[in-house]
Amino acid sequence: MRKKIFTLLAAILVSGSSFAAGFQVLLQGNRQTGMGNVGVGLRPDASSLFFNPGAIGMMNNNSIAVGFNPIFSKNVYYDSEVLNSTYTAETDNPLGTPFYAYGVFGPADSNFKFGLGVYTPYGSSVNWEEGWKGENQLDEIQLAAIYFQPTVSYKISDNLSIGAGFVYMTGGVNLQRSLPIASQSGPATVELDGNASGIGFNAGILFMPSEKFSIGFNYRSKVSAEVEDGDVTFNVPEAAAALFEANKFNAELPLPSNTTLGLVFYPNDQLTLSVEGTLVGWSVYEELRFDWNAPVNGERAAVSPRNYENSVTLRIGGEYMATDALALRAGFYYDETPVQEGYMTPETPDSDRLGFTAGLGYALNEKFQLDLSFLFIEGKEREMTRQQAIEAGTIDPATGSQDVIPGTYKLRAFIPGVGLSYNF
Amino acid sequence: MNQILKHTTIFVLGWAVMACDPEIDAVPNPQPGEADFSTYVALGNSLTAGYADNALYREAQEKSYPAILAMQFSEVGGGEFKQPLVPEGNGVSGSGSGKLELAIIGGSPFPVPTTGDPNVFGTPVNGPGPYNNLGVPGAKAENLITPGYGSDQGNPFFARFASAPTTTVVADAIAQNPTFFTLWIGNNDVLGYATSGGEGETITDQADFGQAINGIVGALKQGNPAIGGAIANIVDITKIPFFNVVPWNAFALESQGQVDQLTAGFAAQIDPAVSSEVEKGAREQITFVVANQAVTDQVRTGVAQEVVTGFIFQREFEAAKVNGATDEEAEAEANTYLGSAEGQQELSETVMTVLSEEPPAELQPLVDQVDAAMETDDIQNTIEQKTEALIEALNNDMLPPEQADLLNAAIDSIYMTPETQAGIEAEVGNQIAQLKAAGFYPVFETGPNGFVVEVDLEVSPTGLKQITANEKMLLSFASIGEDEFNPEAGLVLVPDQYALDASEIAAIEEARTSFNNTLQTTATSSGFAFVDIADLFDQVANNPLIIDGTTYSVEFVTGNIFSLDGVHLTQAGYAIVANEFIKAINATYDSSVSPVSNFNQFTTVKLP
Repeated sequence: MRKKIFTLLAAILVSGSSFAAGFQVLLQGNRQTGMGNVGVGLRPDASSLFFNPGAIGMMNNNSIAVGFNPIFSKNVYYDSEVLNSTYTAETDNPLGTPFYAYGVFGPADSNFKFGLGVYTPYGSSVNWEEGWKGENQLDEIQLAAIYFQPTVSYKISDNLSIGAGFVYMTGGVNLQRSLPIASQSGPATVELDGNASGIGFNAGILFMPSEKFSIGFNYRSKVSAEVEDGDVTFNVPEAAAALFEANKFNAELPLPSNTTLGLVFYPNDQLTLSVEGTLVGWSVYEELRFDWNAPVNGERAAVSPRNYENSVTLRIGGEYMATDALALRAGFYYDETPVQEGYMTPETPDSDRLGFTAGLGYALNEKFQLDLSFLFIEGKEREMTRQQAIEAGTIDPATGSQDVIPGTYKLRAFIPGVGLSYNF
Repeated sequence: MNQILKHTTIFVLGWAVMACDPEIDAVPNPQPGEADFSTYVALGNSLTAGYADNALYREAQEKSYPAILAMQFSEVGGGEFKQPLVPEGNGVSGSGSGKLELAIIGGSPFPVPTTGDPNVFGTPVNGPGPYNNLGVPGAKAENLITPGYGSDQGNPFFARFASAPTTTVVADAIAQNPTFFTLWIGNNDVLGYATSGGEGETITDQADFGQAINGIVGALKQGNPAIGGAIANIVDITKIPFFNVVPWNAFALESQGQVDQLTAGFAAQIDPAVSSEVEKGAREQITFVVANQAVTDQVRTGVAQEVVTGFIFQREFEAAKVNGATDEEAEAEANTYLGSAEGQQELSETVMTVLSEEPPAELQPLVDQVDAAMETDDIQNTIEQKTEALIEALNNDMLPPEQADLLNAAIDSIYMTPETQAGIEAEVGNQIAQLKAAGFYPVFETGPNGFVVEVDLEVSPTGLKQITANEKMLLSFASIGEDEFNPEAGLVLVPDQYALDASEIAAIEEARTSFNNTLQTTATSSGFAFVDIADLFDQVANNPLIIDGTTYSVEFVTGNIFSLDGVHLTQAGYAIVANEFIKAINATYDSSVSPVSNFNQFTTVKLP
């Protein structure tokens, strides 16, 4: 029962749409979000626990920061595979609210800083309209991961600091889809629900060679989110029950590494400009595999190829201090999809994305800082043909087994956010 | 600050709601092309009415293929489409039962009828007509133009929504000034025969069918010369589950004991009859031979008598002439000799010698003369008639006892010879082999066996036909009562109405081919779309459709296309048909009506 309650809580708190390419969620600091999600090379704040643990050592105060970002997102589907078809479907994604909470502490006269970050870097929440064309592939998925990251950072010199944190991930996955079985007792469905955990690390370095320039490097390791003894519930008619014996499943979902280099320029006291590039190690996501504890339709596992490829994200952002208290921010990023042709599944109907951001920061007083951010994501309209899916192996024309629904997909998301930090 | 926050939030959320709906530019705007879909009427039979699971019931009616078409037409100017809806529930079949549902019986699912709702035959629950869907379960082609088909004496499925008892289906369609029609008719013109195993209704005459189709289409065109439409053809009934669920060879025998028992049983029934027939035939043949011989001997004696008489007369006549007698004197002398005791004796001796087995050489000319006379048609006819008369007299005990005994003794002696007996035995074996080869004498082995069907004696001399791979058992057989068929109780014969034999299938196919030619010619000559549903099902039978990972085939229950009656379709099946209509309509009218894309909204056979 405890497990159940936890899952439910996690779903309410941290579910989010896939709002960075793949199912990565880049909303770990509202200041950074407003600046096009740059953050690795910036002068540190509490959010640097996530963006660059190496920067924390440069902080000359303690800080507590919290924030959250309600996500309004919608995917649409159009059946471009069937001649003359006007069929469209859309998602009714639940409002996702990723959050973060950071605390950074350190003795005033020490070069060490310690911190604890709690944040949600990966997640997905896609809920297709009831009875849609792809309901046998996916009705709904909730994927949430919360990272707990205790961190140590050390300032080596006035212009160089390093840091690293241990990551413990906990989270859950809930996946529901219909089964292509008509039943006298309502729709036949399957639901998978499991808790996942994993470990990894987050390390970085910040170098500030001059007043005008800084450079940061961050590496967040891959985390294997492993689900053991997740619950699988088949709601099937009695006549078909013998086909669905399993009630437990194991799965593993790799949450990829991120390698980021950020450059920051400070042309004057008011202005900060930054560019960043990230290589996301998505190629570890080769297949989605569910191992059953008993046969399902005669099989002991359901395996679906994903074959993601490493992707690159490029960001640019800036901050302008309009007054001592008010910061204006804007940014833009390009997020390359890791999903290759033929692998666009209803759970991640992903395409290259453009992110447009704006934000403002306001110092309420010497200790409290309020940050508002606005992120608008426009996914490219992307078509996948049946032929591409067959070539990719996500449709098997011989057996009819099908993990994808060919057609045209598009995503749009709007994410306002608010963060509050207390510096002391 | 709170105010700023509040207003910002309202602004942000409002913008979010508006901006968050992505649109895909590629979605087309469908066009009606040259067709006018504003008033669409659907003509047809149960398939058009949305009949399924052997009943007209609401859930299936709402997803009839005309309703699906109307839904798609609504994007290209289609207007309201009103169906004569029945009350929610089980619906009703022609025989009064409700829709079939699967129930688990003895561990596996089996279709069982629910309780029928007679209220279905009441007026439609969605108010008065006119109704756009004029499909009438059970209708044959000519019924659509038969006045009174909606009366109490007509079809209750039409009577419930006919505008008047005297109207016709087509008249009720024309009254709506339709701009577009679909016509799918003719299935019942062969199906009634087929589903009764060739025992019930007859197949519609091909000329009558053509006349009916001309009448329907002619009336529609007269009503609106600019009307557009689509005409569908008739599916090969041997492809549908009703004729394929029960395999022809599902008569399974597990043990050699069962095989032996059945074989012995049929042998006990058939072998004596065959033996008796062969023996009777043999005896008839021998009787003929004996009688024929007797008659021939008798006739030959007479012929020899005449020949020898002529020979002696001629000899005496010529001898007298040599002695100088006149013709008259010579003739008198010859006759005198023949009349004398000496002449009679010579005559009698010579006749016997001529008839003997080895006549002397000097008499050979006489023998040849006798032989030649015997070959004449007159003599042969005489022999034939006399033989027949003799056999008849013998069989009817009209001969003198001595003669009858003599003949019977002769017959018996031939019949009892080992040669004859061996011949009889061989012929019995030969006859049985022929019966077996023709399937008229069942043959069994362990494992699957063809069912043994009771057929007309015109079809099989034994009244039995063990069906083969190209013959069909009907789905109705699966529900046969134990009082009719129960191998354990020795009831192994299948009544004829549960099977279609090869000749019945051939009759159906011949009619269907002709009907489909009529339908296609009618459609193309009037510029209407021709919807080749037959071809669609031929293809699906060979290569099941796979739509979004779900397989649609002609398999019963698991194939997703056919409902539990094995003849009518599931909602998904009707959607597949609707798409075939749309394909043909788009091709004919240069339109771009959207086909159904999401099959998940159409249910298939519901499992218990």
